[in-house]
Amino acid sequence: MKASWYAEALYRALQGKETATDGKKVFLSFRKVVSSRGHDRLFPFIMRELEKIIAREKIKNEVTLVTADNKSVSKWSHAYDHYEKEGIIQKHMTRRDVVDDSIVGGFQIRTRDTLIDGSYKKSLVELYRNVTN
Amino acid sequence: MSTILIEKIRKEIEALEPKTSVERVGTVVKAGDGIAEIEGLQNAMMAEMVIFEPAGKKSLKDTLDEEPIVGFVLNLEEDFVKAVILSGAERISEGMVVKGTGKTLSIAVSNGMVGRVVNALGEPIDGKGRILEEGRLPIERIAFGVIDRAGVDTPIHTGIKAIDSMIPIGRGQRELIIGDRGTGKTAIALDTILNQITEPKETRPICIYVAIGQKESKIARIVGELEERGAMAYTIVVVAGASDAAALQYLAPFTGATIGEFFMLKGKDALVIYDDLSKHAVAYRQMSLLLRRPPGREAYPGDIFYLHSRLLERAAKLSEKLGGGSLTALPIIETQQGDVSAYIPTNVISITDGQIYLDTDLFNKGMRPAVNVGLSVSRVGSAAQTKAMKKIAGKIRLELAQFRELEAFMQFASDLDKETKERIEKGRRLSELLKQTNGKPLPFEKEVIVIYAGISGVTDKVKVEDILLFESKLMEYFDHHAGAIVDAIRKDRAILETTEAKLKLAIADFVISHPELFIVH
Repeated sequence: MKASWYAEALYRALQGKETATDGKKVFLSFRKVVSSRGHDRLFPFIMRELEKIIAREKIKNEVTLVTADNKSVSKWSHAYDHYEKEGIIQKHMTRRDVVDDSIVGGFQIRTRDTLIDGSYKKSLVELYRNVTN
Repeated sequence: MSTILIEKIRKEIEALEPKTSVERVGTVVKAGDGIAEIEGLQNAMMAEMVIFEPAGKKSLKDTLDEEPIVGFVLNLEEDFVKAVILSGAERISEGMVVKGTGKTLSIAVSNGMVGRVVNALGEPIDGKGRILEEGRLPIERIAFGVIDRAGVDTPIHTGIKAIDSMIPIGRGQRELIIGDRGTGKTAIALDTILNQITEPKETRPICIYVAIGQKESKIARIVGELEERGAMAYTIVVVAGASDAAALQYLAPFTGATIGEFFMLKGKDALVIYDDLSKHAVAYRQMSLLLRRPPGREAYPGDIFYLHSRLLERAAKLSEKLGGGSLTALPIIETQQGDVSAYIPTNVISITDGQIYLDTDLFNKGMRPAVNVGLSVSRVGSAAQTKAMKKIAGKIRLELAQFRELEAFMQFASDLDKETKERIEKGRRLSELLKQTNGKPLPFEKEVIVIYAGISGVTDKVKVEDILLFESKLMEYFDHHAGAIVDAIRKDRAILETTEAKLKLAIADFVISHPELFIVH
């Protein structure tokens, strides 16, 4: 059995457990199951995999708004609101603002599996490719 | 910089308006051995082209300078997508953004590809500049169905006497060339390409040579020879060498088939040589194992048969309604110690319409090309044979079959009756007559004359070791004194009664004018 499978099972079991006591209970019974199967040595790996899953899930709920400078954040916030209204960005997502001057201007909104690209960098790259091809 | 270019740039800049696009993306979570595991990338398709974008901040200049990294999706799993990286695998890093293009892998095709050396993605690698694109065709496509096809009725001459007479190949056929290493498989394929120069331009097939996993030095030698002999004028070479990624070696034959189909759909004839499918199978096995697909017999994946059948099924002769073009396939398979019952050889034998089996023993005995006529077969080619060839082929096949049966008794020659001895002697001479020097294919009309002379018994009085000399003298004679007969056979594609009478007379005249060749009593 792979550590990642155990980690996935533990993560799912911990979902919805609000209090620390509930979490502890789940963890203890999980430990019992793993020990009864003789897989104690997998614990460090399971914990590492669990950390990865938590990080992954965190990203799933995060949306990044990338702008070229600090001043533009408020300017492009309307774009964020627009796509949220359109349903492309889900309502419960957490927004994180990032400044990246390499996009030259405009904005980028990044979710786990969607990229809304309104950056000048993209337009300039397309222009370059159109001219040179 | 030219004013036209400046004007073009000015217009483009004036019209520049940052547009917003919504793209499906994923993130590389693992990468290694040319395979990337991608998280996200929802609704990805099988064989979809994906573009890897660098993670983190990358300046505009760096973005423009770097070649985009391209891959294509091969595994769709519950949480991940696995993609094969086609180039620049060393630049892949964890966290890279992967963009889905929504398009399956395709290549640019055009008439300008003729005479060029391209890679498995159809991009030129011969340093002769860009190839103007006429369109794009998907690398994978479903082969033409029964209704779209016509019967194989036109021959493709290899210029090799043994093949054209006894194992004929038709346009649209799939004929396997199989044998151990160093038995002359590539030589047959190359002779076939070289021989097309004798075909009239309007019916000359476009030849596509696909080198899969070959040494770069060997490919360079082949391209050099084709160029030297003027065959590159109608040939395209697709290269996925031994140093190229397994993914490119896997794609190369499909690229060759796609280029061939481009010409076929234009109503032209095309010939594609896959050299070789054993290495192709090995490349696919490597990719499949890295993609963690379950291994089967000899560790090949379960769909290895389907891989080759869907590739070879694309060879076809199209109906008149679709332009009447054709795509002939000559796949090559390398056997290990003559074992044709191994997994890949049996698969490809069962897919193709016949095989040319090259025998190591025959090769070592000096029989070149080392075609084992007993084990070689062409299932549809005889329907496409010219009347001239058909007339003589039946006789030579029969004579050689009888010779093969009696060959074992050759060592007891002194105890044999006269008739058996004569048959053996004739068989020896006919076998000798089928020998041919590498790289010297014969036009079909000359093949007909040589074999006609052989079966008519003229060679019975020629010493076995003088047969090749006899052949060259005969050809010389026909070139200088009986060119009209050669032209008539080429034009009529048959030996008409009048031509046959003239042929007999010319051969009799040749015998009289070359008494030194006929000394056996």
